Amino acid sequence: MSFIKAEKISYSYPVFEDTDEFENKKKTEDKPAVDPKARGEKALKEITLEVKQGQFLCILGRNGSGKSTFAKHLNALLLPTEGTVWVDDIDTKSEEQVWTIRKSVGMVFQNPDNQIIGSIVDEDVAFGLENLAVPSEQIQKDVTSALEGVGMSDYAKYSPNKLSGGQKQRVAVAGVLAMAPKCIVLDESTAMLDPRGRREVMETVKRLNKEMGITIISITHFMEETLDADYIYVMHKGKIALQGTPKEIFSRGTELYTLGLWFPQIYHLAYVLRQKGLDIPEDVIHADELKQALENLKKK
Amino acid sequence: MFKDITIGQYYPSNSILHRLDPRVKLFGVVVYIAAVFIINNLIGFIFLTIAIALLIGMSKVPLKHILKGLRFVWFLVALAIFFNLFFSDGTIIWRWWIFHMSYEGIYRAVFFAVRLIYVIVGASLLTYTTTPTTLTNGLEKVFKPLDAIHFPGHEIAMMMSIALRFIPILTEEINKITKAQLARGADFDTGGLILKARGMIPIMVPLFVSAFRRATELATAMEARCYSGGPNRTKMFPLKYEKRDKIAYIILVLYLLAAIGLRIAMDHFLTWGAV
Repeated sequence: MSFIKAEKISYSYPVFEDTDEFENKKKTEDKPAVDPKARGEKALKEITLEVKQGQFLCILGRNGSGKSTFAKHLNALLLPTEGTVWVDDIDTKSEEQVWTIRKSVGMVFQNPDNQIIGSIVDEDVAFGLENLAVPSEQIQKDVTSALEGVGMSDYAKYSPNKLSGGQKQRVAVAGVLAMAPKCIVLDESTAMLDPRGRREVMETVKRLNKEMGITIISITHFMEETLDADYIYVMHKGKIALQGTPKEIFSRGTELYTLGLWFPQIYHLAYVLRQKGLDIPEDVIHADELKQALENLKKK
Repeated sequence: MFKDITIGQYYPSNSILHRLDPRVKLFGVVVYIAAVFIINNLIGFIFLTIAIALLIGMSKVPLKHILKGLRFVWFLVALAIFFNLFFSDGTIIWRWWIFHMSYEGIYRAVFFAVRLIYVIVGASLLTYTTTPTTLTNGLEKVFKPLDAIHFPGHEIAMMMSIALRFIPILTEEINKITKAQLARGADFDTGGLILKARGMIPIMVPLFVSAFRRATELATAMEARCYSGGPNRTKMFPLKYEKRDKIAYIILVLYLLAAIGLRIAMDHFLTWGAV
């Protein structure tokens, strides 16, 4: 059962005439403009993909690969110039259904400060529900359980400014979770966090995925975060360059480098050891797998 | 540089004033300010002083804290006193160059200063006892009837609460930018007023750029969470009038009537002490 389906979608950012003029001027006078958005180049080129209900999906890609642009298509923040996106069999172009779509596909953005609207944690979590005109008592219940869901109940009355980056992102996740979504899109939600905050957020969403069956689409450039994914799409220059399970993707070896990505650390270590002549299987990506492989070597 | 502004900052406590509905307090401030300007004689001011003293007592905000908040207002008060004292016409008692003092002037200066301080103390009691969020909720509710004439009450309230939410973030950003510019050799401390003001440009420009970027991102995040503007929204904690709020309304109306009554009575029966 596919939950989200994108069929041959392309997108180009609107070009404003005076920007163009300015850019042209800059081009002749200065150096050539490099921003593809300003040149009206397609940010997405004929992307086709499918997400199943309950999946943990990762979209990998370097800066400017179009991954964030694609993410904004998943809840109708952007509409494709060509092609169609279906969310739960609803075409994202249908204007009267836009709130249904945004309710079922929640989104957590990159900067924790720029997506928290309330001045108190519980108030912020309530924001989406208030917009959907849910009755007050129901909001109070949903907010409590959403905060429990991300392990932030103790901070319900805190000011967001007093929280760490990881905690703020968990509040943002709670804000989405309160609306009972079928899918949560993390648009580089861990990019601005320290390793600990990153772990907090990823553990939280993985738990939501396992326990509540919420589909997770994580958009990232951290390879480590994709290790537990069910499926990975790698984007490059607005196209899907690779797709497959984590093991399939990582076994592509140096091809990943040309796509501007790095191996996960463990994979890289295994790779280097293999180069040195140790017999380690190609599909080792987890720390314990590598440990096992090394122990096997010792026995031999 | 923005750390010691205490005027108007919420003072956490659980007094009766803190628990009152924000709409009552907003009405209270209006009544209070009206009373300050209606009253024009000594007895009236005693009446007002008792009222404000009672309110401060009830609020449980220490007097010291309130006076500290007035620090930035003294200049304004001094200015007002100066002009009233030396430039008022009437029974002249002293004259030098363009300055002259009169009985009426002294009277006016004293009363003007007292009025100004009373207004500020009263208004700041509102913000000392009300969290910004409750206050904006109250304002939104107060402006609700104006929806009919398309007054953007909800939008104003939303803008206020977002502004309040971003004050600490932007303050931090100012500090960061200042340090970054200092590291690049910017000089903020030497030179005259104009030079110093010009020195603010390398802080203000990046600040504005970043504020606009934040605004765009915030708008996207709000849209993603189904925000579509004012009507048809609900509240997690809707404002509800309690018994104490109704009592407060009655007291406020009586107080306003008393102030008006006092003024009329004084104007008719007493000639001394009028301003």
